[in-house]
Amino acid sequence: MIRKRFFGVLLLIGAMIIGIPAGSNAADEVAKLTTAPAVPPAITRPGGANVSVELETIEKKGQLADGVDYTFWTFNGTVPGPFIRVKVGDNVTFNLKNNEASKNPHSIDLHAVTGPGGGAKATQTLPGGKTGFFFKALNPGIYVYHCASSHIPTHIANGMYGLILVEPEKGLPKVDREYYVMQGDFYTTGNTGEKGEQGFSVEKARAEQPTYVKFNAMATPGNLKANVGEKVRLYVGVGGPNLTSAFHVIGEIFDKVYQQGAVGTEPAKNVQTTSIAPGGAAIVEFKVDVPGAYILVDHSIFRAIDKGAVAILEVTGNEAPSVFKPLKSGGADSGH
Amino acid sequence: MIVKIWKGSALATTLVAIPLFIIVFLTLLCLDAIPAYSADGHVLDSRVPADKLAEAKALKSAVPRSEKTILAGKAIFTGKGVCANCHGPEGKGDGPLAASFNPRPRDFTDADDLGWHKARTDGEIFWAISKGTEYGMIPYEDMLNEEDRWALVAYIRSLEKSVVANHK
Ligand code: HEC
Repeated sequence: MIRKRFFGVLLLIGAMIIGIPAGSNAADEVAKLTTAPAVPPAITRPGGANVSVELETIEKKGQLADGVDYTFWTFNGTVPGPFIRVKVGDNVTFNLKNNEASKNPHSIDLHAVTGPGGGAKATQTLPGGKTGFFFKALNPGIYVYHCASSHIPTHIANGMYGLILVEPEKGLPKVDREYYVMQGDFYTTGNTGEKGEQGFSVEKARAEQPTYVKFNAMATPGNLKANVGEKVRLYVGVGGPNLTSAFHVIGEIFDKVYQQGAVGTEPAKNVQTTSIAPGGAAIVEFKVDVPGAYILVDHSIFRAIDKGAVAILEVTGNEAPSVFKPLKSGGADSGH
Repeated sequence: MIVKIWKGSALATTLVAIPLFIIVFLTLLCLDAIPAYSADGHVLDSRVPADKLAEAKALKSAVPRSEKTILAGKAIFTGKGVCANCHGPEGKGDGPLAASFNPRPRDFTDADDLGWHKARTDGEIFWAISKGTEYGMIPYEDMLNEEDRWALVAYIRSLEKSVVANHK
């Protein structure tokens, strides 16, 4: 008995020294993941590397609004889930773990995957379980991933989505700042603003009447930041489950939009508002010329003003009166 | 002249329109009462596709049915299989996630006397647990081994009201 154990330990040490790879697709690198609004750095190496991605599904209480508690279902404990960045041609080993405290099976369908269910069939995972699959990143672009376990709409409504970028071979043009923003609609049992612990209302979700619409519902708090003169790129996704976003930045014009996340096509130029469907994403770029607070909204405006679909890009630097300057104060006699 | 005709026909139109309006209104009311998608009516229809039905019906348990198997099934049902999250802790179809489904997760006590247990062979129940159904039952064949799935069949069978009553 003791002997057996001794041999076991010996074997283990041996394996550690030799470094027996866990799977058949030994990864050269583990993909660096970031929590919204952060984006991992651009990939400087060529495509075709063996990359592993590790995600964990976690059901976790958080705040949907001031004083409003909600149990989110998440990838890695945030909504949206982490930003994943790989390069076209990469060989990706995807590992999914379902936290043992979960009450539901979870899985993942990555829209960047060519294969059954985008990985959903291979990753149905019970609490405490682990699954995985291999895929080759064939198409560049910005893609949504989401949970695809029954009841799928409920899993998505509770926050199970995120973005994966498959960089084109030559990368995307250089910019000064990159941010990750993802919109989701939420359906609480109580009305908008009702305090305390809120459950999920499947009736409101079916009727497509959200009580909250949020950008980065449970991610790193704080404003996006940039300096005057910088080029900003936003990766904007919509998890839904229901609403198409009329994405707009108040006081800015998108110099470029890769509509529908279609990297590889010529981007649209000079766009005010871009539509992003649930399960879809876009890349928008603009240079910030004037300091101030620029408000990101879903321009279906009740969602922004009344239901929370607002985020702020804080631009600091010198005033640029040749581009913009206020002329008169708004006092009662200012019109004379 | 034109005005006169118009006036006359307007009156007639109004007279016809009132009952018409009521009929349309009532119809709309009725339509509203029907849920967007209803599958409740065919809860008894087999969940196995026609071309696989004979094969599924004939499947026989790999584990002998015993008190021990039933308890093992119960432990999976309320534990690692998370069946209870949809089907409820006692298999009544009333788990926390039940409201998301139509039809609801099956009530294995068959409180409504639908005759669900009689309508199914063990093989069909095993098949549904393994392959799932198009109304949201999750396929478990990659998540639970065969022995576990048969233990669940045994447990589900033990929940039928009449079986429970005979036990007492
Ligand atoms: C995510 C929710 C969910 C979970 C978890 C779940 N079920 Fe179900 N189950 C359903 C729904 C919904 C139905 C009804 C679907 C239908 O009518 O086809 C159902 C139906 C069934 C049926 C009836 C199929 C038939 O032929 O009528 C069986 C048997 C069953 N489930 C067993 C289980 C077992 C055993 C587990 C755990 C290992 C489990 N279920 C876990 C949602 C779930």
